[in-house]
Amino acid sequence: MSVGSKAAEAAKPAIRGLFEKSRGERYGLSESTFLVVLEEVANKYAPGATIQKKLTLWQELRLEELALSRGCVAGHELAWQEFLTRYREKLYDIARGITKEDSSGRDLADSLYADLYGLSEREGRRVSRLSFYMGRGSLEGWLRTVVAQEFVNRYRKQKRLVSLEEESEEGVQFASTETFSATPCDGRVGQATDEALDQLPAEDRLILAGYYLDNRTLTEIGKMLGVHESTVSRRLEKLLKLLRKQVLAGLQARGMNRGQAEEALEVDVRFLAVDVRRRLQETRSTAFQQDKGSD
Amino acid sequence: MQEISNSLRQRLRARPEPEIHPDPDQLTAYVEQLLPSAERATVVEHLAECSYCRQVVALSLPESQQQPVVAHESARSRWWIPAYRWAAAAATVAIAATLVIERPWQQRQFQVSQPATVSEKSQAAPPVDTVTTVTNGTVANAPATTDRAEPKFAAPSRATTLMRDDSVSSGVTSGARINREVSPPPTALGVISRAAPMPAPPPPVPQNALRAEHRAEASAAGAAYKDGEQDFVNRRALRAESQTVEVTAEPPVVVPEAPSPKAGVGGQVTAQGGKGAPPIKQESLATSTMDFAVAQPQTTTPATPPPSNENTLKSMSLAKKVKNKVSEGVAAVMEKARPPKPSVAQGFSSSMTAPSAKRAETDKEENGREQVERIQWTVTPDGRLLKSTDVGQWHEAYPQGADLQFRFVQQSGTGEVWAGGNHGTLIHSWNAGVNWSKLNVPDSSSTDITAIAIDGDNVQVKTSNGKTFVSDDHGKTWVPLNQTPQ
Repeated sequence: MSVGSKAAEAAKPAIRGLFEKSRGERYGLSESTFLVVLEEVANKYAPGATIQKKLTLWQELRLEELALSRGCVAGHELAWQEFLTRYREKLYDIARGITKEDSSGRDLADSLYADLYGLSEREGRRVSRLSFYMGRGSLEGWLRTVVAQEFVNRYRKQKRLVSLEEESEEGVQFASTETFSATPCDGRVGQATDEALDQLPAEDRLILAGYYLDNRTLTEIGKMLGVHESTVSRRLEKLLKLLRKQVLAGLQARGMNRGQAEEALEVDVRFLAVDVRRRLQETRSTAFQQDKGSD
Repeated sequence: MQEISNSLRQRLRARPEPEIHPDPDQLTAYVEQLLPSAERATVVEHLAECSYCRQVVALSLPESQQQPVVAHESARSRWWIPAYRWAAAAATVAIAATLVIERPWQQRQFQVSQPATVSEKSQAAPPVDTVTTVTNGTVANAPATTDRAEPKFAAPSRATTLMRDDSVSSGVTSGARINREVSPPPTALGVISRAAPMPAPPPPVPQNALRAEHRAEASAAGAAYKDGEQDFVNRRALRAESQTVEVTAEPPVVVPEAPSPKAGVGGQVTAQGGKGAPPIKQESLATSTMDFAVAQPQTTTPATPPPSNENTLKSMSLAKKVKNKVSEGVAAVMEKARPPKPSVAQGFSSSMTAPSAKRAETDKEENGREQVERIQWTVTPDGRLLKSTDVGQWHEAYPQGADLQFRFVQQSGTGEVWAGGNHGTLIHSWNAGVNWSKLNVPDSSSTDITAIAIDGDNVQVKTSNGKTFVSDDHGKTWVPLNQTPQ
């Protein structure tokens, strides 16, 4: 008997414990079926791991919810009954919360139900979206993420297909032609900024992107990072000071003196003023949100 | 900073977006802070570059911790909150009325240049009313030939009260002389001389007499008082001896045409005191009211300042009416609704005229400790972790999904909070629930945390399968109880 098979034999009681914990039998799963599911999870998130590492990963899974989802995929009646009891209303609430509208929220939730139930078929088999749930997080959280993904996908798709009437309503015909390039006149400013950004840790870049690109509030960014908004505020302030210092240093390293470097940043602002003017022609709220970042 | 902000926005937008995204499972685990640190760093790295995933994560964040439903439920369950609000309003009225009566800013301007004489007779002449008059700081006795006050404004007959001298800055006497006859149970009636008819002579205690008495005691005990800490300590000791003053008062009598506008309020005082005391410095008297604490305040009769004019008398009578009604009707509600009552010494500490730095620091520490202790934690029967900072409003302290149910919460005196629940959930906050960190107790994902005990740096958690784990590093590592910690 090889070492691997010995370890697998030794892990059997632990796997049995995991199966009992999942209550998969209730949803029509056998221990061997459940082990297949667990192996699928291990192959996805820890390929080539030892049995001990796999066990560590499996113990952190939401086993009961994983078994429930796989019971639903298999079409077990009790599993679906349990799923609908637990998540039907929640899914509608989540969709309504994301879309901020009752009818579109219900529409979004219904379309997702169809995916979860598996109305589409692949190679003659019903494919349920629940088969992609791996139990890393809670099933409710997974549903929330899937709804959010679906919503963002729809939004982006609709954004691309804007009718001419809607465009004219937005005032595209009145937009001034850009006489100035939005890019800075001195490429060294961009290079120095890129260099400073590359040196930042990922979390700091996430804060900057959330604040300046996505116009998220400090509270939202704090929740994304799992920290308090005051922490985000302090870090943002420090980051700006640090970046300004690094960009100025980068410009000086590229042959500018201090005054020229500061002037180069200000020149950049003049070009961006054109950008702000263009944004003001967009929706008013968007324009105000954009301005918030430059305060 | 504007120029760098604009430049940043431009360069961030120009960065390329990744094409491969984390799956919903990973994003969910990231939002729920369940990812291992290495995997979490990978996801954060991706999120920093990918606006699509940032949008998804932002939309899939759980709802706000502030659950109005919970707040409403708790508000309904706390029947005494409306009463508490009414009590607060009534207390404000009472404070305003007290300010109108006391007028401390006027008392402090009262300066005396002539020697004062204070005479009180109690048991020696029971049927004879005494008139205590104060004219330009001179307090003297005179036979009473005045009308009695109306019964509805009369002070409680023969009420024995414990008096607090809350302002000794007025009526300073140079070379004050106090003649008193100590004799419990006094029967003499307090008589008040006033410049105008006074419909409501309220409390039965002659405040000036009391002040003079305290001053006399202070001066008799230590003529060599000096500024400084030792002086303060000595005066505190002296004050502790003299603070308990038995006051027995009959309904006071009003002298309609009495000459002095600074008359003290009638009342018989039975107290220990000195006489022929040497003069005391004004500053010493001003500071001698510090930390005047009553040992067992069974009944406190507020002292009444000498009325200065007719308007004061009118306002005093009106305020007295309000005060009596408020104190009788609301006091009971206040006692029930009030959180753990501060000690009398703390209550009086606000009237300090010159607190020492040490005491201020001590008070600050005590207040901080009280704030931490005032935060209450509870776990509802359906497993929600609730927190209350004002003994009234409960709100959710931790974002939890439907499948997460807490079983136990424990708070230390330093603001550290530990809470445990199903699926081996254990969370810890070092700052009274502002930030939480999720901890992993080994082999407990299938069990519930049923009990938590804090002993200094050591924390013990008990799981539903009977195991106990110990951590001495704020939950970073856990060892079973029967093993020796590394």
